[in-house]
Amino acid sequence: MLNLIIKDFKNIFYDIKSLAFILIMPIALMSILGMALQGVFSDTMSSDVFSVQIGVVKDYDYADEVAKVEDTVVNTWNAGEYFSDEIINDFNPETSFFNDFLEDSVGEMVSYTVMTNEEADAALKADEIQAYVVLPKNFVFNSYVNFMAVEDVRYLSEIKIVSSSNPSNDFASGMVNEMITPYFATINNFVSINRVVNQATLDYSIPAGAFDGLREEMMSNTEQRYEVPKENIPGSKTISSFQYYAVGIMAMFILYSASIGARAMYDETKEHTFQRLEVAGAKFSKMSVSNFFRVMLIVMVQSGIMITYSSVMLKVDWGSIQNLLIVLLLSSFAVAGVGTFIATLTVNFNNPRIGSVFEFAVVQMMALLGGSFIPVEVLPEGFQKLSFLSLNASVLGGYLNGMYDRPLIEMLEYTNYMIIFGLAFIVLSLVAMKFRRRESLS
Amino acid sequence: MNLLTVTNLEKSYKKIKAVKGITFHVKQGEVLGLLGPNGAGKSTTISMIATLLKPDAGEVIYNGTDIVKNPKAIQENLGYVPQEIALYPMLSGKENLMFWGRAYGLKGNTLKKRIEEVSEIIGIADRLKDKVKTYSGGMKRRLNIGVALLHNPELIIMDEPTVGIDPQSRNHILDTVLKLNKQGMTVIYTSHYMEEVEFLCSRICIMDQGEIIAEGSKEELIKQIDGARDLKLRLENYDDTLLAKIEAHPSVVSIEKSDGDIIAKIKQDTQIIKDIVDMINEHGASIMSMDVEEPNLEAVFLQLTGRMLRD
Repeated sequence: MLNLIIKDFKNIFYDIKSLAFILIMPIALMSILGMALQGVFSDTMSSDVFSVQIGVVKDYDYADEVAKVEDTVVNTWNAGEYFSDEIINDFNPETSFFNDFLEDSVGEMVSYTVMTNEEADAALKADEIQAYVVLPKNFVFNSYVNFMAVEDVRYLSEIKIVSSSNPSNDFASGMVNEMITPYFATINNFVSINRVVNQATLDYSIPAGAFDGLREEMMSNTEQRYEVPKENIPGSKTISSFQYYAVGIMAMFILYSASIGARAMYDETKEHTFQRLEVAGAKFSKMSVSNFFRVMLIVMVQSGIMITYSSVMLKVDWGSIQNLLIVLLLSSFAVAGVGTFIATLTVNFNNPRIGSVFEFAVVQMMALLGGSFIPVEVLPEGFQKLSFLSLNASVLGGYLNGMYDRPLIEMLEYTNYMIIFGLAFIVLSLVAMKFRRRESLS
Repeated sequence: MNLLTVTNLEKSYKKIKAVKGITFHVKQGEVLGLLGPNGAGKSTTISMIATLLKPDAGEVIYNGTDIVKNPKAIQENLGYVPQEIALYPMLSGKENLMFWGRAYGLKGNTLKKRIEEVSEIIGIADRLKDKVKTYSGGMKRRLNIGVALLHNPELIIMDEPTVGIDPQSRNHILDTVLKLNKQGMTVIYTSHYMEEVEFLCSRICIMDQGEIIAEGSKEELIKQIDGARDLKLRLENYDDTLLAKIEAHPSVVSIEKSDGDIIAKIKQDTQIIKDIVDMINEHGASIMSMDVEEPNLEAVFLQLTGRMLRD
């Protein structure tokens, strides 16, 4: 077996032409496409393509609660002068939460949909959202009271975040917590500041407005905490189009290696070394295993070269080494699996066109559906639904996961896909071997 | 003692019956020739012996073991030289020998020693480090044979090993085969070159259209056609009545005109030449030239099939 593998490796590395194709072509393609397509997207692509989908449940009626605020201020506090439409509009807690926070501050990382409790539960169950936030009853009322009150302070401590039970969404749920919790902590700080300022105004009979400057300064310091620093949130790194295409082109190009093995096996049958090996007692299955390792090595070398080249020359940040190595290994395994299947079919039917069909039709289709050319999310919906058929989607997902510095658990769906993809084709190859036709030598 | 016995061997490709129930044997230490035109079924036959093809019917017994049921029995002791150059052109001669030696289970010093010995036998010791793709056709053919000798097989099958090479390399290969045979190796040699088979083989099976149509030593085969030979005449002042008279002689098989020559196929008969010369003289014709060609396997094939070997 080792003898076969060594021979196959030597055959690859001694053949300058095919070596150039294997190594130089992807580098050239990566550079050209990366530059050509740089303008198609913004300079940087953030993780919004892969952003967390959340639901927001409003467990209150906005108009009712505003009416309740008016009643409290006018009738209970007897402070009608503090209530006006202007104040209501200036400090609108919904505008603050939805517009200032969810859209402006963390909009790159989060997409939200307002829904009812039932809808949110159903969406969570269907994996359409990774978490939902419940803005509790009295959210609007308490917010206004806290803004205006001195004594009657109500902290917003009852914000509820409901996360998916799917372990692969743990990271997304974590992200939601990381963002929402600081927001409401900030709101509570507002409350404290406001209370101190209001109390001081009353205690020392200071004219209204005297502390406005101080209040604004303190609030503005606090407001800065609205700006959730992205670098503190794992997985929120931005990537450049070069980075995206470095991965996209690589995911596509490594698939070509699958047919390199098939072509090599066909050449062996054509040059009769295959038959000679059979006479020497080597079984087809043994030769296929060797071919599997040949393809796997080619893919690993190709990926390694492309990663190194793009890191050094294009300044692509591939993220954690651990993530990188896992995806590199598993993508090579998956491609080697499909390569073994193509090689088996090629030998069975004695037809080199099977490899060509794979290169010109299947690889292109997988590249398109898997996001090698343009991100899957930008594709028409029908295409998006078919992306699960493409190995590229998982290879891309796996590498991008590392680029975004996401934890390994987030990568499971991609790594599992690659393993299943590779194994499925190995099983198919074994089945196909059973149906091999044997023809004459000449 | 029979090393290999083939009985009622059959093989079909779709509707074409390539081998039609042939039976023959190979004795230990002999060179058996399979002679026949292209498409006679020689390669299919040896592919079945080499375990590359599964026969539709019949059996191949090697040293008492049915190799259809137990291919390993022959694989370990068989050197197979395919008609094609079954080598890796990107690897050097040495790397090819190393690879194939290991494929046959050789390793370490044994492998190294065998590579040295074999490269001496096939005469490429000085080019071992070069890539095979830089070799001449003759050198590739010799290395193709060398690969099959590495594990010192008991039986070697050579399928048209001299196709498309220069006379010098051809002679080297033929000498090598004889040398190996003298060292005790049993050889099955297929060819459509009659001269090679005549030169090398102690026994010959003539194949045509999937059947063995004759079998024996060269002398035995020629005897089968009554020692028939060609008498080539160039005459002047003759007409067809003379030719009809010659053809009517009981020892004349056939007569035909070709490029001004008259070719009479005659049986082995000490009187026949004298009789024909007498007939010519009586007719008043003049003999410009006369040549008797010794009988050969081509004649045997022609007599048995009505076709030339290379038709």
